[in-house]
Amino acid sequence: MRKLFVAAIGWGLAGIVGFGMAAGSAAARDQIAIVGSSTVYPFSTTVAEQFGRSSGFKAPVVESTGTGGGLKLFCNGAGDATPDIANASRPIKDSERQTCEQNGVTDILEVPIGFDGIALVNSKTRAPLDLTVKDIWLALAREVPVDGKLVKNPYKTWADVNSSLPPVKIEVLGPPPTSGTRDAFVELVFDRACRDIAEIAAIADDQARKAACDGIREDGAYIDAGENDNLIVQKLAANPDAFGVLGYSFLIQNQDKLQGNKIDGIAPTEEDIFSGRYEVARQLYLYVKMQHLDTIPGLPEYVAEFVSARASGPGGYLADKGLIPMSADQHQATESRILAALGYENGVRKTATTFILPASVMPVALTVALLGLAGIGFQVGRRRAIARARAMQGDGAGFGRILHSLPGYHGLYVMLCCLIPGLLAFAIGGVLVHGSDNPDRAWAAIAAAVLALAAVGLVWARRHIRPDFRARNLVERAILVLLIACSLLSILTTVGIVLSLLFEAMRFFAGVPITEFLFGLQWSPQIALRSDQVGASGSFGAIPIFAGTLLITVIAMIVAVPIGLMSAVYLSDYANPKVRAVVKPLLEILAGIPTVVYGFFAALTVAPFLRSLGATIGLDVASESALAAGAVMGVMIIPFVSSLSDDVMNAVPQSLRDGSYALGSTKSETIRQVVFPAALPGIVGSILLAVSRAIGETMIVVMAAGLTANLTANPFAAVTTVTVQIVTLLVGDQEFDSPKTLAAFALGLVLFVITLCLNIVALRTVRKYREKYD
Amino acid sequence: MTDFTMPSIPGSATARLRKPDLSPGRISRRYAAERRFRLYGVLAVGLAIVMLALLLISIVSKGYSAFMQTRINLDITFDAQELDPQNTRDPAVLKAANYTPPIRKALSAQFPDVTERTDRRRLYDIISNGADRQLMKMVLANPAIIGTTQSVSLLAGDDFDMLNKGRISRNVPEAERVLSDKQLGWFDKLQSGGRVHYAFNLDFLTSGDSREPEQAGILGALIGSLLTMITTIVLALPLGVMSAIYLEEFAPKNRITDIIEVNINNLAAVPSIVFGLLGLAVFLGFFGLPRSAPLVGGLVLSLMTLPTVIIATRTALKAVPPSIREAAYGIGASQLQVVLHHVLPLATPGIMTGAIIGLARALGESAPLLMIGMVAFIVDVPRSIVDPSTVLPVQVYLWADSPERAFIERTSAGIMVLLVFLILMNAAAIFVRRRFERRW
Repeated sequence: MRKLFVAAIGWGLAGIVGFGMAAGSAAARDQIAIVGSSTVYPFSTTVAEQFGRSSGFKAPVVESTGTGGGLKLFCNGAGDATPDIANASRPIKDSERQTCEQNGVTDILEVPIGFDGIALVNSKTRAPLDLTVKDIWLALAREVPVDGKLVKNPYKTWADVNSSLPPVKIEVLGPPPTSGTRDAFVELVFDRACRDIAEIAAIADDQARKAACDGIREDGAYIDAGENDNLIVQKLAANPDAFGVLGYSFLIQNQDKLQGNKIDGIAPTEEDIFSGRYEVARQLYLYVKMQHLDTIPGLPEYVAEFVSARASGPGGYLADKGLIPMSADQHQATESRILAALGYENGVRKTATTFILPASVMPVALTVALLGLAGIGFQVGRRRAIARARAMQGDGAGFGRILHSLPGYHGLYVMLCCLIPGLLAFAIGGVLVHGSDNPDRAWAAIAAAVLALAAVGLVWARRHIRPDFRARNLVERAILVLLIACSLLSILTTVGIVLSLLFEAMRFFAGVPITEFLFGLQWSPQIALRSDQVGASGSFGAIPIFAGTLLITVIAMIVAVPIGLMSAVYLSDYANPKVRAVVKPLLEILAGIPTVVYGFFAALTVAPFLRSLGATIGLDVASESALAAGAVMGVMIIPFVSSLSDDVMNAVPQSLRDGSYALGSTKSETIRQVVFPAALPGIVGSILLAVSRAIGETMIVVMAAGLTANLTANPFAAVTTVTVQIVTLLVGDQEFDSPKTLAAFALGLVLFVITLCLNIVALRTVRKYREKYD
Repeated sequence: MTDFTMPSIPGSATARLRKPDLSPGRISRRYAAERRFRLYGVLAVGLAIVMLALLLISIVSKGYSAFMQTRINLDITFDAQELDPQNTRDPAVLKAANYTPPIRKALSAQFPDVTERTDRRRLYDIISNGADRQLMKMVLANPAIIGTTQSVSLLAGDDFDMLNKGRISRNVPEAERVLSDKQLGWFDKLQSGGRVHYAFNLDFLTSGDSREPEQAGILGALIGSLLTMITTIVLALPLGVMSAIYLEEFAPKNRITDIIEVNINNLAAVPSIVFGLLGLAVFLGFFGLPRSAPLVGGLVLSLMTLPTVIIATRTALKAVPPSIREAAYGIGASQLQVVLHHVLPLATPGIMTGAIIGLARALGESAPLLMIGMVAFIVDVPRSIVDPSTVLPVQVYLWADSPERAFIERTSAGIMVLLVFLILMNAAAIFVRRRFERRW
C-alpha cells in the first residue's frame, strides 16, 4: 500500500506538471476563433469544416452569439484572448467601430460574402398569406395610429389588422435586439412601412420618429425567441398559428416543414431575392481583425477560402446551405479585392505568417525546474540525516536509533523548505506578470527569483539537520496545515459563489430596483445593446418566472412524491429480498441518467405525445407545456424521494412496528398510522431536498420548457423557469455590463438562496429526526 | 380506517372505552384495504420501471440506426487531366485537386436523362458532400489509380440515408417530404441496380462534429469528456480526500468545523448551474482562462464533485474499525502516521467507489458547461485540456437543437454512447466495492 501512495504522489506531481504545461500553452492560440451572427453561423461552420479538412490548419471554432454580441466581443481588444472574426448580418455601425478603435482594434477588414433574405415563415400546414409591409408593421409595432393618434397596439388577430387576413391570433417568434436579423427586419420592413403612415411621418424629430417607428410591441404578440434560429424552426413546426422571422437559409433548410409568406406580393425565392424583387434581403459580412492576420495560423487562408468561388461563388457549396451568392462578376471583383487586402499576389501570400513563440513556455520550464529542485532537496535532506547519524554513531547498523525522525522526514523537511518559498514567489510573480509589457523578460526575472529562493531554502534547511532534529513534527504540522487548507476549500467555494453572484447582482440592482425585480409582473429582459437601437424597453419583474418555476416544480412533485413514497414503502415492507435486489438498482438508474437525456426525451417524445393527446380530447396543449417538462422532471426525481424516504422509514424503531402488530393492526395500518406519522419530519425533509433539486434542474427545462414568461397556472401552457432564463440570458452574449447578463446573476442569486434555505431546513429536520430515534 | 381510534387514557374527561368491532365484514374490509395498499406499491414501482423502459426504448429505437450507414457504390473515373494535369503526382497537387466533379460525373453517368440544373443539384445530394475527401485519401494512398475507373463505395447524403433507414415515409404527399418523388425514383433505381449498401458506421465513433449529419461523429466530444474528467479527478480526488481526512480524523468539534460540515452538505445540493455561474465569473472573468476549454470545465466540475468525494471518503474512513488505529498507536505511530499508513489504505476501496460515482455524475452534467462556452461548433478532436472542446452531454444538446432530421438519430446514438460510459463507470464502482471492500 505504501507503494500505492508513492505512486499516487507521483501521479499528483505529474498532474501538476501537466497543468503547468497546459496553462503554458493556453496563451498560444493555433485555432481561429469566430463569433457572431446566427444567420452566418451555418455558412461559417460549413466553411470552417471544409477549411479544416482541406487546408491542413485546424478547423476554426465557431460560436453563435448574435451580430451585436459578436461585434462586442470582437471589439474588446486585440490579442489572443479576443476573436479574430466577427460574423455579421448587417454592416458594422459607427458606434461599434468607435468602440473597436477605443480598445485598440484599429484595422478591420469588411468582407461581404453574399445575401440572405429575411422571410416571415409559418408551418406548411396553413395556407401562406400575402402580407404588405404595412400589415406587418401594424401587427407588430408598439404603438399604432388609431383615429389619428398613436396608441398602444390594440390588434389581437391578423384580421384586426387587415380584414382580408384570417382571424388568427398574432404570434410572431423572432430574434432579440442583439440579432442582425432583427435589425435588418426592422430596417427593411418597419422603416418602409412607416413612410406611408402619416402619423409617424409627421413627427419632426428624427430620433423620436425612428423610436416611434421601430418599437416592437411587448405584450406577447412578438415573442423574443433568443438567438437560436433552430429553436424558432422547431417551435414554428409545432405551432401552426405562429409566424417566425427567419433568414432565408433556414427556410430552405426546412422546406418540408415551413413556408415563406409573400411580402408585398413577392414570395422569398432564390430568384426573387437575387434579382432584388424581394426587398426584404440584406448582405452578410465577415469582419476580420487584420492585426491578427500574421499571428493566428490559417486566418488569411480561411478568409481566402470563404471568398473563393467554390465556397461563396455562384454554385459554390454555400449556395447549397442557403446563401444567395453575389453575381459572378461582383463575386470576382470582391474576391480579388479581399485577396489583395489579405496580402495575396497571384494566389500566393507575400508575407508568410510568423508565429510568435508563446512567452509562456517559461512557466512550464519553471514548474519542472522547481519540482526537480524539490526532488533534489528530498534526497539531500535524507542523505544528510543518514550521514550525520553515521558520523555520530559510527558505521554500525544501529545508526537509525539516534535519529529522532526517519530519514525520509528529514528529506521531506528540506523539500518543503525549498518548495514553499519557491511556490509563493511563483504565485506572486504570476500575478505581477499580467501587468508587464514584456512577459518574456518578466518571466525570466521571476524564474531567477523563484529558483534562488528555493535554493536558499534548501541550503538553509540542510544546515540544521541533525539526528535530534524533530523533522517529523514539523513535516506533520505542515501536512496538517495543508489538510486544513483543503477542508477550507469548500467554504471558499461557497464564499466564491455568494460573492460572484452578489457582486454582479448588486450591479444589476443598481440599475433595476430590487422591489421591481422581486415583485414586478412583467419580464422582458431584452433591452437595446446600443444607443442607436430600439429594443424592448426591458422590464425585469421576475414574478412570472418564479411562478413558472413553481408550476413545473409542483407538477414534478405531484408525479414524484406519490410514486416515490409508495415504491419506498413497497420496497422496504412488502417486496421480497429478490425483487428488492433487482428493483432498487433499477430505480437508482433513473437518478443516474444525465438530465440532458431527460430533456431530449421530454422535448421529442413526451411533449408531442401530450400535444396530440390534448388535440384528441380537444385541449390546447402548448408544445412546450409545463406538463411535459414537469412530468419528466418528476420521473427523474422519483429515486431521490424513494431512497431518502426509504432511509427515514427504516430508521423508525422496530419496537414501534412490533407494538402496532401486537395490537392486531395489519401491515398497511401499521405503515399508515405508526410508521408514517413517526417518519413524517424525515419524509418532509427528503421531499424538500427533492424540491430544491427540481428548482435547480436546468437541462430538462431548457430543452422542453418555454422561453416566454407567462404568468399562468395552466399546466398546458408554456412557462419559463429561473434556470431557463439564466441559460438564455448568458449563452450567446458574454459581456458583463448589460443589465441583461447581470439579470442572470440576480436570478442565480435567488436560485442559490432559495435552494440553500430549502437544504438547510431539510437537512436540519432530517438530522433532528434521526437523533430522535438514535 | 377512520373508525380506528387510539385507546384513550382512563380517567380523563373524554375517557370512553369503545367495544372493538370484530365483525367479519370489517375484517374483510381491512384486508381489502391491505391488498389495495400493497397494489398501490406495486403500481408505483411498476410505473417507475415502465417510465425507465419507455425512456430507454425511445432512445434506442431512435438511435440504433446511427451505427449503420447507407453507402452507394459508384464507378468513379479518376481523370488524370482533371486531378493532376501536369502529371506530377505530387501529394500537394493531389491534395489540392477538386474531387467533386468525378463524383458528379459518375452520378450523371447513372442518370444521363437528368439535365435540368435544379434537378442535377438534387441528384448530387444523393452522395454526401464529404465524399470527395474519401476519394482524395484513396488517391493519396495510391496515386496509381489516377487514370483508372474504380468502383468506390461512397457515403450517401443524410436525407437518402434516412430514406434507406425508413425514417422518411414514402406515403406522405410530396410537398410534406424532404425528398421529391424524382429523388425517390433515382434512389430506387440505384437500389435495384444493387449499388446501395448498408454498412457499419465506423465514422460515427472516429470523427469529430460536422454540419452534415452523415459525417458527424462523437469522437471529439468523447475526448473532450475524457480530458474534462481527467482534470476533474486530478483536482477533486486529492483535495476531497485531504479535506475528509482532516474533518474525520483531526478536526476538533467546534463551531468552525460544524459550519464546514453543514456547508459541505449544502454544497452537495446546490444546483449545478450555480457552479457554472461561479466558473463564468471567477475562472473566465477573473482569471481569464480560455473559453470552451476542458481545463475550465474540469475546474467547475471538480468543485461540484468535491462534496460527493468528501462525504464518501468520510464514510469510508469511519468504517475502518478503531482497533486498527489503536494497534498503530500502540506501536508508537504518530496520529498522521496512523491515518496515512493504516486507515487511509484500508479506506481506499470505499473512496474509489465514491469517487467513481461522483465522476459519473460529473460526466453526465451539462448545465454548468453551457455557462463557460463549451457549446461552440468544433470539428477538430481536442488534444490538450486547453483546446476548445465540447463534452458528450453538451454534444447531445447541440445535436438535439439542429434542424436536420438525421441529427435526431445522431442525438439518440450520442446518448447511447454516453449511457454506455455511465454504465461502465457504475459497473467499475460496483466491481471495486465487491472485490476490494472489506467488511469488519
